[in-house]
Amino acid sequence: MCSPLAAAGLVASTLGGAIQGNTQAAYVDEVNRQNQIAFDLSRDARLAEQDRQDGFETQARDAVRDKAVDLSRDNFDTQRAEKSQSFLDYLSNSQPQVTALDPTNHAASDSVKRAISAETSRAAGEAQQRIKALASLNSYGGTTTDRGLGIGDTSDFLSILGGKRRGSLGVASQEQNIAPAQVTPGSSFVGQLLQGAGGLASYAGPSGLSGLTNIFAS
Amino acid sequence: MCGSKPSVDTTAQDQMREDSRLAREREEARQAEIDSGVEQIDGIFSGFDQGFFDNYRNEILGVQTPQLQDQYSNAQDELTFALARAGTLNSTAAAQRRGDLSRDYATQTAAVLADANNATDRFRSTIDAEKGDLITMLNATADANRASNEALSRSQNLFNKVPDYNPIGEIFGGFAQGVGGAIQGAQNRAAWDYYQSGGSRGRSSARTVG
Repeated sequence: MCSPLAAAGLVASTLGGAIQGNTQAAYVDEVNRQNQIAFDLSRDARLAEQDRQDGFETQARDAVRDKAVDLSRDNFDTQRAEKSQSFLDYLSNSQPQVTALDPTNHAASDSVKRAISAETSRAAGEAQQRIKALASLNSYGGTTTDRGLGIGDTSDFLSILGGKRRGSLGVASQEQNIAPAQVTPGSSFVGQLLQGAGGLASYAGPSGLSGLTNIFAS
Repeated sequence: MCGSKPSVDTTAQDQMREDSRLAREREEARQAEIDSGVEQIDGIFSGFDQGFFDNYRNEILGVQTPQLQDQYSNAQDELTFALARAGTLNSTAAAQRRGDLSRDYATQTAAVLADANNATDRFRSTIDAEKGDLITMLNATADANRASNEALSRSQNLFNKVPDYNPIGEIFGGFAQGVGGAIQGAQNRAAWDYYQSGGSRGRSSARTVG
């Protein structure tokens, strides 16, 4: 049969253990909660960075797509035709008139007059043909220069965008590195006390009680 | 129950988050600085517009076109003298020569324009390369003020650049020489015919035996 002291010790020990267990469980729960908070913060930072990078990516793709349209073969031919026409338009205002006429205005026979007319027509036709060919040839230079400059501008834009992306990524890695808060277990002094006393009482039992009495009496 | 709750210390975490917030602020400021720098560079280089390049090309034409006109005028004179010496001033051959000369003059006028266009395109590329360098520098330093100052300095040099042109070479040489050669050939042939005909004028094969 168990003595009342031993029984009380058993109850106190059990109660103390329960209190300590609860304290430990609360600590573990809090650690888990703080880990989850840190994880959520890190995930939020990651998602925010994904949004930023998606924005940069969209800008870069738009720029490349627009430039690719500009650089299409059809556009090249159109741009060349415009350059060529612009060349001819400019010359139409400044080009000297082609003529086989004698600048000294000597009197000419009818046959010579006919020859002058024919030669003027021939020379003017040849000049027109050569100038047209030159305009077409020159249009390659102007068009490729325009396209080269356009590519350069897009390249500058992408370079700036790349710098922004790298800069943002550098910060994002720091933003995502979030340590959980430090959790310190709660104190369970009462539990420890109960458990200790209960253990002592259980161990001492009825015989131990007199011994204890003697110790305190002396 | 009787145990106390666990304590939570977020000091380190708060510090890390604050550091991150400041880093993000600095990064956003850096990006804004780059945007501002690009805007300033664009503004400084906006002076190099179509009007500027049209003027640049016209400056080259202004130097080369009179040279071409002078050469053409001289060639016309030489051709006229050569034709006059040959006694063919009013002839179909003269008309052909004059037509050729006038055709070449018109074609060379276009060639001068093409050269001026090419020189202008080269200058446009030079300016764009300078601008590209500035953007690269800005991207590396994120220093808008420095990029802006550098842009001002470089654009000043570019504005002061003398248009790139070469004097035109000899364009119409040979027109008058050809006429002289043709006349000499005609005279040689006439002399030969004269010799063959036994001294009689004309091209008749009949000989007068006295």
